Amino acid sequence: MGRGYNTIAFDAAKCDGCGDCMTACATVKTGTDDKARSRIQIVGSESDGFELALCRQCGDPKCVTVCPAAALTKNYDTGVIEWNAAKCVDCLLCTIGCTYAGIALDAGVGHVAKCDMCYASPAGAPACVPACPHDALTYITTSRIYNEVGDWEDLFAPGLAGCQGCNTELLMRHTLRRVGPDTVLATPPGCVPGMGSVGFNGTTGTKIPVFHPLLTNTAAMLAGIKRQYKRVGREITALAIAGDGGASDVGFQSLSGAAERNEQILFMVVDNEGYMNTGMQRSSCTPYGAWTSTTPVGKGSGGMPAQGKTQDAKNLPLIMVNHRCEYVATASTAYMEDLYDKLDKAIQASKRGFAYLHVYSPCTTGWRFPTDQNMEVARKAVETNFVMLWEYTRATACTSRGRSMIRCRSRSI
Amino acid sequence: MATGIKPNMAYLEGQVSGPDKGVEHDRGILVSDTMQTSVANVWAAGDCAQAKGFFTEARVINSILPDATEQGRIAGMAMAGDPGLKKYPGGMSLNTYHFFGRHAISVGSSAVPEGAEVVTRFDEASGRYLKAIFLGGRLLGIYGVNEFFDAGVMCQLILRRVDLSAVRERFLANPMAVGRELMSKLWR
Amino acid sequence: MTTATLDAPSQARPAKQKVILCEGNEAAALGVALARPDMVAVYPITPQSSLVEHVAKLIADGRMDADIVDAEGEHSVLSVLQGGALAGARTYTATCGPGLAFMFEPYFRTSGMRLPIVMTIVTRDGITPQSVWGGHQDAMTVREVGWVQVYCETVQEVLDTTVMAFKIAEHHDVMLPVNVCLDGNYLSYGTSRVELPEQAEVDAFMGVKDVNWHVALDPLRPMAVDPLTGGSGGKGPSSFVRYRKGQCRGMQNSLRVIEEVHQEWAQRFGRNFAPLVEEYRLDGADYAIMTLGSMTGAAKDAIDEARDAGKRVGLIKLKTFSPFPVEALLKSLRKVRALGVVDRSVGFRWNCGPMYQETMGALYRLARESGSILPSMSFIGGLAGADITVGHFHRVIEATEKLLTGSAPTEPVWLNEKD
Ligand SMILES: Cc1cc2nc3c(=O)[nH]c(=O)nc-3n(C[C@H](O)[C@H](O)[C@H](O)COP(=O)(O)OP(=O)(O)OC[C@H]3O[C@@H](n4cnc5c(N)ncnc54)[C@H](O)[C@@H]3O)c2cc1C
Ligand code: SF4
Repeated sequence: MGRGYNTIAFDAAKCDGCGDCMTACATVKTGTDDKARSRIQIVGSESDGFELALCRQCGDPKCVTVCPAAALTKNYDTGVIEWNAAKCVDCLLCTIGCTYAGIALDAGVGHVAKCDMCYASPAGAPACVPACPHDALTYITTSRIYNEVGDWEDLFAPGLAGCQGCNTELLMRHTLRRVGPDTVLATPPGCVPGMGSVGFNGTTGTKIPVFHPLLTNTAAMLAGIKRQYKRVGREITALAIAGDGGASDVGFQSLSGAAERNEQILFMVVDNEGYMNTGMQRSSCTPYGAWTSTTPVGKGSGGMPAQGKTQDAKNLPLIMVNHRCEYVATASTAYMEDLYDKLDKAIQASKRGFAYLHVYSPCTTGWRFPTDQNMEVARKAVETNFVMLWEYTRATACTSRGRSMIRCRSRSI
Repeated sequence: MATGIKPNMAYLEGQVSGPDKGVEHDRGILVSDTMQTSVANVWAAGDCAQAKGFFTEARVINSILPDATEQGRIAGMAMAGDPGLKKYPGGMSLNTYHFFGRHAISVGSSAVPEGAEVVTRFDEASGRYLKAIFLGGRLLGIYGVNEFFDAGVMCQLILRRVDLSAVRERFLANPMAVGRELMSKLWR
Repeated sequence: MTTATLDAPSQARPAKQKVILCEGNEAAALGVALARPDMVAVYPITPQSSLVEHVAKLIADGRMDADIVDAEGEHSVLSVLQGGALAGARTYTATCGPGLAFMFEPYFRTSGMRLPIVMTIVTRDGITPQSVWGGHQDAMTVREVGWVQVYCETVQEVLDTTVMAFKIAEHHDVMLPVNVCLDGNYLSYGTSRVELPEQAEVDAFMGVKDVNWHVALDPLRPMAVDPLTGGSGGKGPSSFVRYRKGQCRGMQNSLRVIEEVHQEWAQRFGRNFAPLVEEYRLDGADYAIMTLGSMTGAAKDAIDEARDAGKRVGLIKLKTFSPFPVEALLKSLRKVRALGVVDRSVGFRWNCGPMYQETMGALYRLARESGSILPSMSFIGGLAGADITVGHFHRVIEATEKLLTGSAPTEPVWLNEKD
């Protein structure tokens, strides 16, 4: 399996074009404060918004293939495309190959220059990222998870019948890799079995024992399974990957009962704010004002327009805290390291009692946003405090890691 | 200084009869948009290949490294039946030169078709020279001496037929910055 | 052997069994303990509550080694057991009335997954008009869901049948859940003398436990349990049809297995219960009345008195109601010329008792072979805990006798209406 690498992420919405990152880069790389010589280039304007030109450390780099002098090489350990001054013949062909302006002439020295992620620096991490005063730049080190876990067996069958852009497949594959084969998986009716977790017409979707519970009895069935294996002295993880509707509405009784009995279960709820698999109907996790197919928007009658759901979402994770579970946490696929950390804790907690993990999962189909925006929407949901990431243990109660919030500013379009 | 490349076609002469008609060739080996020659299971790429031009339907030999690698990639993907294969968009002139202490970059066509407009700017003091050819709002070619811009970005502006009307003046003033801005918005 | 009579000579008696005095709910609990389940899930409901209390006490006292799950409702009770069964556990629970209605969703699924769960229904009437008293309405309402349902007549039969139920359910030719139905109030709280089999003897009778050989949630043999099937054609619906056919075959197989298990029980423990259909003084009878469950005791007394008075009447009692033992019943029906069927519940669709409605299907079979129609009628009594007394059965006998000469009424006779 290929490797994942650390990367620098840029959030245009947070950038105000101050150029501090460029100054930091130029200082480290050229010993000057000449922003023009920075490897990271912020372009654009206040009115049009700011954009980024930076080497993407491509997996299949064109600059490397066009270089006649073999002066550019991809380092497959770090992912960085390295430039060798000794071999370079200054032909600039690489600047033709690269379509992202990731390698360009440093007029100060007359050679090309490109970002090397500051791997060789004492910090071993990019100087530009901490220099940004607005958190528009983030050093993403999530690849650690991919590299560590990527080689573990994928316990889902290849290919899923999910909607384009849905992040649930990511959750499913990563969670199972993490939990491992000594697991019994319950995927109650909803998007997850809709994607084929339990298979169709006599097939299976996973390499581990998997079943559809009823929408209503996931936690109860898992409790029975776990208890019997405990009785015969076998260690298994009883895992649910459930939707918010089943968990918060019709399956809530069995969920609450199992949590109160502190059954040794890891219960993951993928919250896409409604019954999306059946066509986007309202659930009690649907937030206030949201359009769903059963809380539509219309002109209404008697001068009272129908404006989506008229009640707030039920805060299911907080309700689970009130069961005094072994572990409760909320997470988001936009924050995979955080999610992974919490998943690890939840797995451990499920050996002692009830562990509950609530993952916010934007629904491209139901929320009607472009399919390439899932992570972005998930990230914005957290950054705007629309959802909050926190965890609960009996020892610490509820805690949340500080995270800088998005700055809202108007922008001409 | 010399320009142009003349592939040796002599060894292909005479292979023209019967069902095994041999590899069709002109000045170079004639290839399709996927670098396929007239003979099944034979591909050609690079200096020896005569492929579609971006600006002309006629097939040309575009003997430069970026095209050679691009054509090689396409031929390889075609051979492997890669479903991700994208057809060759057509070759265009692209070059960078480094001589007499100057950098020169040329991207696209130097021909000035009917209705096209040529804009030049020269700064005696710095020796910076820029020439750009537009047809409608589209860029056809851009040339710079001691004026650095990202050739790869310019190439995309031409290939994608990006309409630059709205940003033309800014673009001419600073093709590097505006090119990067457009890149970041259009194909980031 | 499809029928048996209580006055048939009993088998050679095994070692002397301990005799105790207990109510039907306790007898059921003792039967459960003897069958050694791994897991019991409970939720209290009248008139079942003392049963699960007895089970809990047996576990607490160390007389039964099972994991007990105090679930938060009947729906979860059965769901926990489904999980347990899929992980290889022998499982048990009990419920009735509203509890049974609440667990209907997993109840439906238990037979579908072919899980050999044993569940006592301490039968109860209701739900509205609200009643916590006995009646067969709950069990009758769910009779079309693929569970085996057997009805007990006595407290001793409750204990013995509870043990046998596990063996029937887990038989490889059956693999279906079994309801042991015992009448709320009359059997649940009725106290009588009970012989308690030796644990070792029961262990020998039960054999080796093997409940999830056919379907399991086990990382050592991973499989997808119950993937989606169906569609407009092709593999999906055809696999569904084959599956359903298999369930029906399991139901039919259970008729043979119920007989075999009862026979073995009689040999080992000396108590001989009619497994499917019991005849009581049917030989030489011109007409018969038909009963189910605990009412049969009073019915037998009435038959004895009627016989003494010279009436040529006999009794047919069903023990196995689901699957409906048509062949066994036909053997008995061939002996008489008129039939009165007494139900303790209502069949709303046909305006008669559900057992009568089922029996009409058997009567059609009989008419086809004999060319004539056996006159019959429906009686509904004992609703909401009402006692069906010997006196009521004399009314039943009289009305049924009239069928020999008069025409059969289309309306049911409602007993207890004017009591
Ligand atoms: C002096 C010079 C300067 C250039 N400068 C630039 C520049 O600045 N920018 C730019 O973009 N391009 C430049 N080019 C062009 C560029 O080098 C070529 O377009 C590119 O190398 C073509 O690659 P290719 O793989 O098609 O052919 P080549 O690189 O020529 O490779 C062909 C290979 O085939 C081998 N071969 C030939 N016949 C046989 C045979 N019968 N059997 C087996 N092997 C055989 C040859 O040995 C050779 O290794 C320059 C070319 C030259 C000559
Ligand atoms: S400028 Fe240097 S690194 Fe870039 S292509 Fe030429 S030789 Fe390679």
